[in-house]
Amino acid sequence: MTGVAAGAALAEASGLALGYGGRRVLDGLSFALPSAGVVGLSGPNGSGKSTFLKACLGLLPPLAGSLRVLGEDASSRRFRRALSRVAWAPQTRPPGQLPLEVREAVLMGRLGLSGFGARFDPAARRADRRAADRALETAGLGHLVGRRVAELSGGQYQRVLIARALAREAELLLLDEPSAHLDAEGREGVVRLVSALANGQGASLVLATHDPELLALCDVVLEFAAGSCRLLPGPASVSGVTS
Amino acid sequence: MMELLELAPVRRALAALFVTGAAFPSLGVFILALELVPARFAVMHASLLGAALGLLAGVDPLPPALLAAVLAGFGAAKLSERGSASAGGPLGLFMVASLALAFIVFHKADVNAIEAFDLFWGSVLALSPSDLGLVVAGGVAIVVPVVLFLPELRAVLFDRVLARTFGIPAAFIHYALVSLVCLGIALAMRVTGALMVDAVTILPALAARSLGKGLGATLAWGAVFGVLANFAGFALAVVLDLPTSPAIIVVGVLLVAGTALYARLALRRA
Repeated sequence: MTGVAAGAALAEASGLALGYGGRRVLDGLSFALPSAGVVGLSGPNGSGKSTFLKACLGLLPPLAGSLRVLGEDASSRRFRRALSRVAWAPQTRPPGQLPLEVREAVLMGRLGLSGFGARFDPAARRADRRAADRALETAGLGHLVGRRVAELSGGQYQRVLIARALAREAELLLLDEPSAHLDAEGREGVVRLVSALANGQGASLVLATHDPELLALCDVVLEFAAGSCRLLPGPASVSGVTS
Repeated sequence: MMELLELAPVRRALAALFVTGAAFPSLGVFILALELVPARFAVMHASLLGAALGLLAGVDPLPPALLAAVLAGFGAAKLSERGSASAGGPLGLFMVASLALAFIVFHKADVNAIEAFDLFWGSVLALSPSDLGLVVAGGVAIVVPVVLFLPELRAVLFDRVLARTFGIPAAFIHYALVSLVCLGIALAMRVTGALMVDAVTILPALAARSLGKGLGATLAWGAVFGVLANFAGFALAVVLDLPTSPAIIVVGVLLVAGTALYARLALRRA
């Protein structure tokens, strides 16, 4: 897993407007996010952090302007191929009635990386399994492999979501509020994991969060407010936390 | 018992019980995962309307009933897409509207309502060769996509938005899945009768959930319990001279209780 090539922009917005059903949540955004280090997305609830992440995943076409992610136009059909280089850990509730084992949940991160025939190829399946196991170890979940997802605590479930994103071995990792709604113990485990990812040599990291401890890991912060945003130097660029 | 096998209706019944037992519990797993339990009542009422329209047109009521079930599936998928399938309100509206239209057809077109209601009183021993053909086709239509596309189905059931980021046509799969569930319910009605459709869908799925940790394992256990309940129920019906569908339900309920007890004991030992 390697990050975006040095010098290339992680994401570039130009006159970007985003919203739902014609209603603009964000408007007139223009910036270039550097590829190096950790990018934080901050701002109050409803300020557009998750909306921006969805646009980065091609889930939300721009209402105006353009957004390029990893050099590709996020609203183009070709962007689907670029999505194999992006992994996302969204804010998702635990699956209520769906029977799901921890390894199954993490293996989901490998979907779409190889062709349909690969699922019948034992070597490809082993490779996927190894990637999932590596991600589980990184997330400190190796001992929970055979457990049901529904039996996990909030913190463990959040780390499963991050492990699923890690299993994708992508260049760009998008984490949406990874420490939100967790108890102290769960939050501590997630902060420890995200800190390890930020300090490692892995994927470029974009982190939407309110958590001051996570924001402290960021080299730059895109601060959202009142339908717009501004790019600020992050605490880590000053203190050298992630370098 | 062996002389029973010489009777064509019994052979057809056993074939249908094997197919429904192996394939239809998958639908139960999906019904539970999608929280579509109330939607299956809507499917029953829509099927009745389809059957009424079929009789009005002077054709076999089963195909239009199946078509109506698929259309009801689209409706249920649309509602569940907005997260309101389990709310019951819109589905209740859909149900009574279907029922009202069916009765208007019965009244105005002088259609024999009993013939349409035959769909509700399905019996595994009354299956015609063409009914069995439809059941087998339905079983294949369930098993083949589940085996081939299990990873995609798992992702869509987990989170449709996330599934889209894997390049999966999540909306299409969701609609196809819900339509397949509704088609299966309509077919199962023919085998067990509408009021006992849970015998071949929900009950084996509930038993399977006590043992299977993941989706794949749950689907496999569902097939095992489905076949077991169907054959044991049929044997019980023959030996004790009971109606078949209720006997299958009794075995299914015992399996659900037994597996739940086993899971609880296993959890206590862990």
